[in-house]
Amino acid sequence: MSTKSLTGASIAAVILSILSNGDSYGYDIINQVRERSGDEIEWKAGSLYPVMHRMQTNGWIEDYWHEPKGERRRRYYRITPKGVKALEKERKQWMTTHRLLLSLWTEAGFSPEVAQ
Amino acid sequence: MRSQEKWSFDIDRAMDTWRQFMSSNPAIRPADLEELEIHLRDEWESLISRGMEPEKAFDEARRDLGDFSELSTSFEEVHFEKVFRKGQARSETHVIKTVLANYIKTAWRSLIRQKGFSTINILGLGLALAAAFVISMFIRHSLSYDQYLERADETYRIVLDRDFPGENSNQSFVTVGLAELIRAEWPGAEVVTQMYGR
Repeated sequence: MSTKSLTGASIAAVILSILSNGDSYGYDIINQVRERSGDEIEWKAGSLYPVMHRMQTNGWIEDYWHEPKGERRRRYYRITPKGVKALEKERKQWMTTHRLLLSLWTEAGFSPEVAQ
Repeated sequence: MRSQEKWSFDIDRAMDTWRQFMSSNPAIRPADLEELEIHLRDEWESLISRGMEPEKAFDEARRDLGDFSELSTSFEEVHFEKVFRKGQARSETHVIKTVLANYIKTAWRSLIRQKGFSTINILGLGLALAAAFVISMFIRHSLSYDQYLERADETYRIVLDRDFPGENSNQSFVTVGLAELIRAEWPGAEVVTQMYGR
Protein backbone atom coordinates (compact mmCIF):
# COMPACT_ATOMS: atom_id res chain seq x y z
CA MET A 1 0.00 0.00 0.00
CA SER A 2 1.18 3.44 -0.83
CA THR A 3 -0.25 6.50 0.86
CA LYS A 4 -1.91 9.15 -1.24
CA SER A 5 0.76 11.77 -0.60
CA LEU A 6 3.54 9.37 -1.52
CA THR A 7 1.76 8.51 -4.74
CA GLY A 8 1.42 12.20 -5.49
CA ALA A 9 5.09 12.81 -4.82
CA SER A 10 6.34 9.88 -6.88
CA ILE A 11 3.86 9.72 -9.75
CA ALA A 12 5.82 11.97 -12.13
CA ALA A 13 9.08 10.16 -11.43
CA VAL A 14 7.44 6.77 -12.02
CA ILE A 15 5.77 7.88 -15.27
CA LEU A 16 9.03 9.35 -16.58
CA SER A 17 10.87 6.15 -15.64
CA ILE A 18 8.33 3.96 -17.43
CA LEU A 19 8.51 6.12 -20.54
CA SER A 20 12.31 5.89 -20.43
CA ASN A 21 11.86 2.18 -21.07
CA GLY A 22 9.71 2.90 -24.11
CA ASP A 23 6.64 4.77 -25.25
CA SER A 24 3.41 3.75 -23.58
CA TYR A 25 -0.24 4.63 -22.97
CA GLY A 26 -2.20 5.24 -19.78
CA TYR A 27 -3.79 1.84 -19.35
CA ASP A 28 -0.46 0.11 -19.89
CA ILE A 29 1.31 2.42 -17.45
CA ILE A 30 -1.19 1.56 -14.71
CA ASN A 31 -0.71 -2.14 -15.41
CA GLN A 32 3.07 -1.83 -15.34
CA VAL A 33 2.91 -0.05 -12.00
CA ARG A 34 0.61 -2.71 -10.58
CA GLU A 35 2.74 -5.60 -11.79
CA ARG A 36 6.10 -4.14 -10.82
CA SER A 37 4.85 -3.18 -7.36
CA GLY A 38 3.49 -6.68 -6.80
CA ASP A 39 -0.12 -5.43 -6.74
CA GLU A 40 0.81 -2.98 -4.00
CA ILE A 41 0.36 0.19 -5.97
CA GLU A 42 -2.89 0.68 -7.86
CA TRP A 43 -3.25 3.96 -9.67
CA LYS A 44 -6.63 5.33 -10.72
CA ALA A 45 -7.07 6.52 -14.26
CA GLY A 46 -8.75 9.62 -12.90
CA SER A 47 -5.55 10.68 -11.19
CA LEU A 48 -3.09 9.44 -13.82
CA TYR A 49 -4.38 11.22 -16.92
CA PRO A 50 -4.57 14.71 -15.44
CA VAL A 51 -0.99 14.30 -14.20
CA MET A 52 0.08 13.18 -17.67
CA HIS A 53 -1.54 16.23 -19.19
CA ARG A 54 0.17 18.46 -16.67
CA MET A 55 3.52 16.86 -17.51
CA GLN A 56 2.72 17.51 -21.15
CA THR A 57 2.19 21.19 -20.39
CA ASN A 58 5.55 21.15 -18.61
CA GLY A 59 7.08 19.79 -21.80
CA TRP A 60 8.31 16.60 -20.12
CA ILE A 61 6.33 14.26 -22.32
CA GLU A 62 4.64 14.33 -25.74
CA ASP A 63 1.57 12.48 -26.95
CA TYR A 64 0.75 10.92 -30.29
CA TRP A 65 -2.04 8.65 -31.52
CA HIS A 66 -0.84 5.30 -32.73
CA GLU A 67 -2.51 2.09 -33.85
CA PRO A 68 -0.25 -0.95 -33.67
CA LYS A 69 -1.22 -3.93 -35.86
CA GLY A 70 -4.10 -5.88 -34.38
CA GLU A 71 -4.65 -3.43 -31.56
CA ARG A 72 -6.88 -0.45 -31.09
CA ARG A 73 -5.84 3.13 -31.66
CA ARG A 74 -4.41 4.61 -28.50
CA ARG A 75 -2.84 7.79 -27.24
CA TYR A 76 0.82 7.07 -26.64
CA TYR A 77 3.27 9.16 -24.69
CA ARG A 78 6.99 9.59 -25.14
CA ILE A 79 9.57 11.28 -22.94
CA THR A 80 11.19 14.51 -24.20
CA PRO A 81 14.75 15.77 -23.56
CA LYS A 82 13.25 18.12 -20.99
CA GLY A 83 11.60 15.10 -19.37
CA VAL A 84 14.91 13.27 -19.26
CA LYS A 85 16.39 16.22 -17.40
CA ALA A 86 13.44 16.31 -14.99
CA LEU A 87 13.82 12.59 -14.33
CA GLU A 88 17.52 13.06 -13.63
CA LYS A 89 16.63 15.59 -10.95
CA GLU A 90 13.95 13.29 -9.48
CA ARG A 91 16.36 10.36 -9.48
CA LYS A 92 18.88 12.35 -7.48
CA GLN A 93 16.28 13.27 -4.85
CA TRP A 94 14.88 9.77 -4.53
CA MET A 95 18.31 8.20 -4.31
CA THR A 96 19.36 10.69 -1.65
CA THR A 97 16.31 9.83 0.42
CA HIS A 98 16.85 6.15 -0.23
CA ARG A 99 20.51 6.25 0.86
CA LEU A 100 19.62 8.26 3.96
CA LEU A 101 16.97 5.78 5.10
CA LEU A 102 19.16 2.81 4.19
CA SER A 103 22.11 4.06 6.21
CA LEU A 104 19.87 4.79 9.21
CA TRP A 105 18.18 1.41 9.01
CA THR A 106 21.44 -0.44 8.59
CA GLU A 107 22.77 1.15 11.75
CA ALA A 108 19.55 0.37 13.58
CA GLY A 109 19.96 -3.21 12.48
CA PHE A 110 16.69 -3.41 10.52
CA SER A 111 16.47 -6.04 7.88
CA PRO A 112 16.70 -4.61 4.36
CA GLU A 113 13.74 -6.77 3.39
CA VAL A 114 10.35 -5.55 4.56
CA ALA A 115 7.49 -7.95 5.12
CA GLN A 116 4.81 -7.44 2.49
CA MET B 1 -35.41 -15.96 -21.08
CA ARG B 2 -33.61 -14.61 -18.11
CA SER B 3 -30.12 -15.35 -19.34
CA GLN B 4 -31.02 -13.75 -22.64
CA GLU B 5 -31.87 -10.55 -20.85
CA LYS B 6 -28.56 -10.60 -19.09
CA TRP B 7 -26.61 -10.96 -22.31
CA SER B 8 -28.52 -8.21 -24.04
CA PHE B 9 -26.08 -5.71 -22.50
CA ASP B 10 -24.79 -3.59 -25.36
CA ILE B 11 -21.28 -2.27 -24.73
CA ASP B 12 -21.49 0.33 -27.51
CA ARG B 13 -24.68 1.76 -26.16
CA ALA B 14 -23.27 1.79 -22.64
CA MET B 15 -20.20 3.57 -23.98
CA ASP B 16 -22.33 6.14 -25.79
CA THR B 17 -24.24 6.95 -22.62
CA TRP B 18 -21.06 7.23 -20.64
CA ARG B 19 -19.41 9.44 -23.26
CA GLN B 20 -22.41 11.74 -23.46
CA PHE B 21 -22.43 12.11 -19.72
CA MET B 22 -18.72 12.82 -19.53
CA SER B 23 -18.71 15.27 -22.42
CA SER B 24 -20.98 17.59 -20.43
CA ASN B 25 -17.83 18.86 -18.75
CA PRO B 26 -15.84 21.13 -21.10
CA ALA B 27 -12.65 20.66 -19.07
CA ILE B 28 -12.50 17.11 -20.42
CA ARG B 29 -11.55 17.75 -24.02
CA PRO B 30 -12.47 15.45 -26.90
CA ALA B 31 -9.01 13.87 -27.10
CA ASP B 32 -8.96 13.32 -23.32
CA LEU B 33 -12.40 11.78 -23.48
CA GLU B 34 -11.36 9.44 -26.28
CA GLU B 35 -8.33 8.43 -24.25
CA LEU B 36 -10.52 7.68 -21.22
CA GLU B 37 -12.96 5.76 -23.38
CA ILE B 38 -10.22 3.55 -24.79
CA HIS B 39 -8.97 3.00 -21.27
CA LEU B 40 -12.46 1.98 -20.19
CA ARG B 41 -12.72 -0.49 -23.07
CA ASP B 42 -9.30 -1.95 -22.30
CA GLU B 43 -10.26 -2.47 -18.68
CA TRP B 44 -13.64 -3.90 -19.66
CA GLU B 45 -12.09 -6.45 -22.00
CA SER B 46 -9.50 -7.39 -19.42
CA LEU B 47 -12.20 -8.02 -16.79
CA ILE B 48 -14.23 -10.09 -19.26
CA SER B 49 -11.21 -12.20 -20.13
CA ARG B 50 -10.99 -12.93 -16.43
CA GLY B 51 -14.52 -14.32 -16.60
CA MET B 52 -16.66 -11.40 -15.46
CA GLU B 53 -20.08 -10.78 -16.97
CA PRO B 54 -20.12 -7.92 -19.49
CA GLU B 55 -22.47 -5.64 -17.61
CA LYS B 56 -20.80 -6.19 -14.29
CA ALA B 57 -17.41 -5.75 -15.93
CA PHE B 58 -18.51 -2.42 -17.36
CA ASP B 59 -19.70 -1.17 -13.98
CA GLU B 60 -16.47 -2.31 -12.39
CA ALA B 61 -14.31 -0.72 -15.09
CA ARG B 62 -16.24 2.51 -14.87
CA ARG B 63 -15.90 2.64 -11.11
CA ASP B 64 -12.20 1.94 -11.48
CA LEU B 65 -11.81 4.88 -13.84
CA GLY B 66 -13.11 7.25 -11.20
CA ASP B 67 -16.54 8.81 -10.93
CA PHE B 68 -17.67 11.86 -12.83
CA SER B 69 -17.07 14.44 -10.11
CA GLU B 70 -13.64 13.00 -9.32
CA LEU B 71 -12.57 13.04 -12.96
CA SER B 72 -14.08 16.46 -13.47
CA THR B 73 -12.22 17.95 -10.54
CA SER B 74 -8.84 16.61 -11.55
CA PHE B 75 -9.27 17.62 -15.18
CA GLU B 76 -10.50 21.05 -14.23
CA GLU B 77 -7.42 21.56 -12.09
CA VAL B 78 -5.15 20.88 -15.04
CA HIS B 79 -7.32 22.93 -17.36
CA PHE B 80 -7.20 25.82 -14.92
CA GLU B 81 -3.43 25.57 -14.63
CA LYS B 82 -3.09 25.60 -18.40
CA VAL B 83 -5.02 28.84 -18.64
CA PHE B 84 -3.12 30.54 -15.82
CA ARG B 85 0.39 29.48 -16.78
CA LYS B 86 3.43 31.22 -18.19
CA GLY B 87 4.03 34.44 -16.30
CA GLN B 88 1.44 36.50 -14.53
CA ALA B 89 1.39 39.53 -16.85
CA ARG B 90 1.03 37.49 -20.00
CA SER B 91 -1.42 35.07 -18.53
CA GLU B 92 -3.76 37.83 -17.41
CA THR B 93 -4.10 39.30 -20.88
CA HIS B 94 -4.40 35.78 -22.18
CA VAL B 95 -7.25 35.04 -19.78
CA ILE B 96 -9.03 38.27 -20.69
CA LYS B 97 -8.70 37.45 -24.38
CA THR B 98 -9.95 33.93 -23.84
CA VAL B 99 -12.91 35.05 -21.78
CA LEU B 100 -13.84 37.78 -24.24
CA ALA B 101 -13.58 35.40 -27.17
CA ASN B 102 -15.82 33.01 -25.28
CA TYR B 103 -18.41 35.72 -24.59
CA ILE B 104 -18.52 36.71 -28.23
CA LYS B 105 -18.81 33.12 -29.31
CA THR B 106 -21.67 32.28 -26.95
CA ALA B 107 -23.46 35.53 -27.79
CA TRP B 108 -23.26 34.76 -31.49
CA ARG B 109 -24.51 31.21 -30.95
CA SER B 110 -27.55 32.23 -28.94
CA LEU B 111 -28.25 34.92 -31.55
CA ILE B 112 -28.36 32.28 -34.25
CA ARG B 113 -30.31 29.79 -32.18
CA GLN B 114 -33.11 32.15 -31.07
CA LYS B 115 -33.93 34.13 -34.18
CA GLY B 116 -37.31 35.55 -33.11
CA PHE B 117 -36.09 36.67 -29.74
CA SER B 118 -32.95 38.16 -31.29
CA THR B 119 -34.95 40.07 -33.90
CA ILE B 120 -37.19 41.65 -31.26
CA ASN B 121 -34.20 42.44 -29.12
CA ILE B 122 -32.17 44.06 -31.88
CA LEU B 123 -35.11 46.00 -33.30
CA GLY B 124 -35.99 47.23 -29.83
CA LEU B 125 -32.42 48.27 -29.17
CA GLY B 126 -32.29 50.04 -32.57
CA LEU B 127 -35.49 51.90 -31.85
CA ALA B 128 -34.29 52.94 -28.42
CA LEU B 129 -30.97 54.13 -29.83
CA ALA B 130 -32.72 56.11 -32.55
CA ALA B 131 -35.00 57.74 -29.96
CA ALA B 132 -32.01 58.59 -27.79
CA PHE B 133 -30.23 60.16 -30.77
CA VAL B 134 -33.28 62.23 -31.73
CA ILE B 135 -33.74 63.43 -28.15
CA SER B 136 -30.08 64.34 -27.76
CA MET B 137 -30.10 66.21 -31.09
CA PHE B 138 -33.24 68.11 -30.04
CA ILE B 139 -31.62 69.09 -26.76
CA ARG B 140 -28.40 70.14 -28.47
CA HIS B 141 -30.37 72.20 -30.93
CA SER B 142 -32.36 73.88 -28.17
CA LEU B 143 -29.27 74.70 -26.16
CA SER B 144 -27.56 76.14 -29.21
CA TYR B 145 -30.08 79.07 -29.34
CA ASP B 146 -28.24 82.39 -29.81
CA GLN B 147 -24.90 80.66 -29.20
CA TYR B 148 -23.55 82.06 -32.49
CA LEU B 149 -23.11 85.42 -30.72
CA GLU B 150 -19.51 86.23 -29.95
CA ARG B 151 -20.22 87.06 -26.28
CA ALA B 152 -23.22 84.83 -25.85
CA ASP B 153 -22.65 84.39 -22.12
CA GLU B 154 -22.87 88.16 -21.59
CA THR B 155 -25.83 88.71 -23.85
CA TYR B 156 -29.34 88.83 -22.44
CA ARG B 157 -32.74 88.96 -23.97
CA ILE B 158 -35.49 90.46 -21.91
CA VAL B 159 -38.84 88.71 -22.10
CA LEU B 160 -42.09 89.08 -20.28
CA ASP B 161 -43.51 86.40 -17.98
CA ARG B 162 -47.03 87.24 -16.94
CA ASP B 163 -48.36 85.39 -13.96
CA PHE B 164 -52.06 85.98 -13.39
CA PRO B 165 -54.29 83.65 -11.47
CA GLY B 166 -55.69 81.18 -13.99
CA GLU B 167 -53.60 82.58 -16.80
CA ASN B 168 -49.85 82.50 -17.24
CA SER B 169 -48.18 83.68 -20.37
CA ASN B 170 -44.65 84.13 -21.66
CA GLN B 171 -44.14 86.77 -24.27
CA SER B 172 -41.15 87.85 -26.27
CA PHE B 173 -42.04 91.49 -26.25
CA VAL B 174 -41.83 94.02 -23.43
CA THR B 175 -43.03 97.44 -22.45
CA VAL B 176 -42.45 100.27 -24.88
CA GLY B 177 -39.46 102.37 -23.94
CA LEU B 178 -37.72 99.76 -21.78
CA ALA B 179 -34.64 99.79 -24.02
CA GLU B 180 -34.27 103.54 -23.68
CA LEU B 181 -34.80 103.34 -19.91
CA ILE B 182 -32.06 100.72 -19.45
CA ARG B 183 -29.71 102.64 -21.72
CA ALA B 184 -30.21 105.75 -19.58
CA GLU B 185 -30.44 104.29 -16.06
CA TRP B 186 -28.38 101.09 -15.97
CA PRO B 187 -24.61 101.55 -16.45
CA GLY B 188 -24.03 97.78 -16.30
CA ALA B 189 -25.58 97.37 -19.71
CA GLU B 190 -22.87 98.03 -22.32
CA VAL B 191 -25.04 97.96 -25.42
CA VAL B 192 -28.82 97.85 -25.62
CA THR B 193 -30.83 97.23 -28.70
CA GLN B 194 -34.29 96.17 -29.71
CA MET B 195 -35.24 93.76 -32.45
CA TYR B 196 -38.13 95.76 -33.82
CA GLY B 197 -40.35 98.59 -32.83
CA ARG B 198 -38.90 101.78 -31.76
